[in-house]
Amino acid sequence: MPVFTDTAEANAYIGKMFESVVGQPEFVKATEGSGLVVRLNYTGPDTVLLIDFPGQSVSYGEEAASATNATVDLYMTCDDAHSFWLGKLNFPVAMARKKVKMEGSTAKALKLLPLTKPLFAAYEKLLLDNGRTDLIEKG
Amino acid sequence: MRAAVLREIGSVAIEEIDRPVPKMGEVLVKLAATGICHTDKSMVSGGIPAAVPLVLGHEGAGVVEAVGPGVDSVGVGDHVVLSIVVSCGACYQCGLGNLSICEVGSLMSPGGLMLDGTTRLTKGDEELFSLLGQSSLAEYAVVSARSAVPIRKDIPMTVASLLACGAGTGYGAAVRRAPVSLGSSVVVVGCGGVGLAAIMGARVRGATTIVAVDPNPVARELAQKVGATHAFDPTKDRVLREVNTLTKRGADFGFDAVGTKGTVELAFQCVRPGGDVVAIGIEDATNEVEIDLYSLLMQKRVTGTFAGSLIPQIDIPAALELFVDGRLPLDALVSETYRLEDVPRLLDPEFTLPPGRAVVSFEGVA
Repeated sequence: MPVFTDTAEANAYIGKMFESVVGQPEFVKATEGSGLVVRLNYTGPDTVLLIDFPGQSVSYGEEAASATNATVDLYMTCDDAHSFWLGKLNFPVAMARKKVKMEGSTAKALKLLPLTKPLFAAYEKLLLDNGRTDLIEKG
Repeated sequence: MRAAVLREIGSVAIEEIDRPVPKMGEVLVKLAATGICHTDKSMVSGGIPAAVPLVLGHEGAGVVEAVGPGVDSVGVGDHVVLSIVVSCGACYQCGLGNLSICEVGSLMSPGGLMLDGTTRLTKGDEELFSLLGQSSLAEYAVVSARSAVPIRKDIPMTVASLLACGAGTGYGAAVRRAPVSLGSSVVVVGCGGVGLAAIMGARVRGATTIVAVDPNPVARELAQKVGATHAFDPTKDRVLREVNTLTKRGADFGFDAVGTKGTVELAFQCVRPGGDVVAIGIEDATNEVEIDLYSLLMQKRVTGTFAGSLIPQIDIPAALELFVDGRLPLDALVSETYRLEDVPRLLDPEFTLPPGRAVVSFEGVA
């Protein structure tokens, strides 16, 4: 049984988490000059999100899939993404086991690393604020 | 057995974990010596992502304690160097002879896994991950038999261990990756263990002008001791002017053994049109390189190497023969020896490793 019932639910939590942080001063400062534009290609349910840190915007669906300015593309299932954003997925191991695949600049992708802890916290808070402890337990 | 374990960024501890058991195609090695590499430090500091909990160490040498099924390349009692070249021998890259970038090894090793996608390291019910297929800052290590290179028993283990990673990488950069030849001019940026080995390799290949660049006076002195013909301090000397004066047109080869902002660029600016630059160090995996397009049109080339692009079973014994013959002074790299208990301090991000190589020596072996 997948964590998210449909694309809308995946976007409502993972996407909203990014929407809530991209404009925050700490993220703006941390990504300044990085050119970091990450496209998240998730399956089960299928969704595509484009996180444009310099532009401080999040887009979805066809707009995200057809964007030409992504510096990094990450591919994984929604279930693994959910675990990852809760800080429960061992990323290097997941890469080795091909649960996560990446296209683009490794250096740019790794610039995400210092941001992951605040993102994990933001994701958990968003789920708690929405009363979705059931999803936290599935992480 | 005791092992140096990284559980979170910045924190290393010596822990008692289970002694690993070799599977098909693997060997169990009792460690005698393990060099401390800057990659260990970068993983501890978070500059390079690590699969945690991780048993550190990837520059080991020791004695074969046991072999798994199907191993006939080494036997119990053999002295071996544990190369960081982890190769399957069957993939596209291995078929091309590019063992150091094996499609299986280069995927599994950074993920802390053995070639079969699992780990041998445990602490009770807990799985721990391995570093570059060996985790040799521990009393014992299980490695792929293809990475266990048998060596002469009269070679000091502290010297042999250096060829597993750092010295092998620098040496291989000059003898395998770049076509350094008789009369070549070479610039080496950064004179830690890797850079010093690149200098030695360039000298073995017949380079006659070898310029060492390092801000540390002790490192520059070591560089000249192992073969550099000139040494400059980039914080005080005009390196480009000096290199151009010495070579008339720029060096034939540039090696960057540092991997921080601007160091590949410095090596790139030091080489002549048509010259080669090889990146052999990386301090932080988020580092990017900026070079000018016009110089590329002038046929300068930039490349890199993992593990010196060595063919371990051929190049490591050959390098040790050169050492015995007095032509590859690897022993000059061993600056300090330590005990396993010292590892947390050595890998503390605030601790500065000495020039050359710090090597952990294990008691009671060889």
